Amino acid sequence: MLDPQLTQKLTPIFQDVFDRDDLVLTPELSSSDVEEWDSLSNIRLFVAIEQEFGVRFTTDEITALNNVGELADLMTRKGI
Amino acid sequence: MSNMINMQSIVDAVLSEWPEHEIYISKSLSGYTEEERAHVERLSERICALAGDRLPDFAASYKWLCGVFNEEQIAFIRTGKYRRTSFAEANAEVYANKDFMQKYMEGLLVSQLLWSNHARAFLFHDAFIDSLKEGTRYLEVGPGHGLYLATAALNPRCAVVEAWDVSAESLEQTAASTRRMGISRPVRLAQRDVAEVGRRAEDGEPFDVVVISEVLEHLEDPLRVLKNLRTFLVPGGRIFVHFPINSPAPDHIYLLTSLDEVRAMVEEAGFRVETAEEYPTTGYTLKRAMATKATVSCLVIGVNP
Repeated sequence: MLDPQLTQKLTPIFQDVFDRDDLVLTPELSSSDVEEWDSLSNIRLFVAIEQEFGVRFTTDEITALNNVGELADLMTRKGI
Repeated sequence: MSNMINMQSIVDAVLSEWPEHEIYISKSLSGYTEEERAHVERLSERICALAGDRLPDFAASYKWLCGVFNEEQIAFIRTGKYRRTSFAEANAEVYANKDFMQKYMEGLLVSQLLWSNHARAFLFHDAFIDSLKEGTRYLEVGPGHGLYLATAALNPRCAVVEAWDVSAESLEQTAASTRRMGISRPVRLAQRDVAEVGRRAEDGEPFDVVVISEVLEHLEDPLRVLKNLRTFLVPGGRIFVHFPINSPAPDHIYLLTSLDEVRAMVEEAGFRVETAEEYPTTGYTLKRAMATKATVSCLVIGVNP
């Protein structure tokens, strides 16, 4: 289960990046569930999170992501 | 894809190296008409001829290239700028690195098919060559892999086909490429720096057409080059410009962000714009590409008044 506070902050970022107001975040949500989630929009997602939370991701972290649950874990490890 | 043997060979080679790329490839290769598919197969045939039995290596280079472009894309989205802005920087980090350059050129060759903006630009050039009149004198600047040059050399409407590059090594590669693609007619290759001077008194006849594809974004002063190139065209001659916008790459140093900016540069160089087209990166509508600053290949044909 995703942390509700994190979900609240991440949801508008996802909705904006993928231009999908109906997007609901679950730990399993991945690029195969969202047509607009390609490598380019994945980068935009991470950069938007960087700007919102004042963190920095490495290229490996950006390109290795499989789903929202992994993103939440990664953010927790970064102290967010 | 039954009659697209060469395209399938490239797709198979890439998927063998990189199975996760299937969705992207499927998006990229969909939407072509029957007529366009014939051109895409012709493009694929040339890529296969250039890669030869090293196609699996080229596929691996393509995967590597996409990783390199990801790095550039991350920096671009963070800053809105290209990482390098001078030729010296690009030269030090890219052009002078032989191993990097080999993989880079191999990967880019495969991208000509698999990135839909590249493939669409190739088709646009094909159509442009088909529209030329008999006896056309054709010049290409920075021919690179020679895919475009081959289209001109194989078209009987082009009476003279010539190509220039600032690098002797690049010209040697273009010469080898034309041989591998089965070009038997004479194609004059010359080492010239069009950033320095325009047409001189001792130069031969001017050209009817000048093609400069994916070169200007590598230069510090593309406007000056366009102005110089105009001096090599007959009155009424046409320039074919392919300039990718919002296109971060290790050796791209000149950033333009809209087709209007490309048009404006061509006009400032003294041309009247005849045609302008734009092809967004794979899977993007033009509207979404512009909204998200994704790469768009801009093609502008200008007439020398």
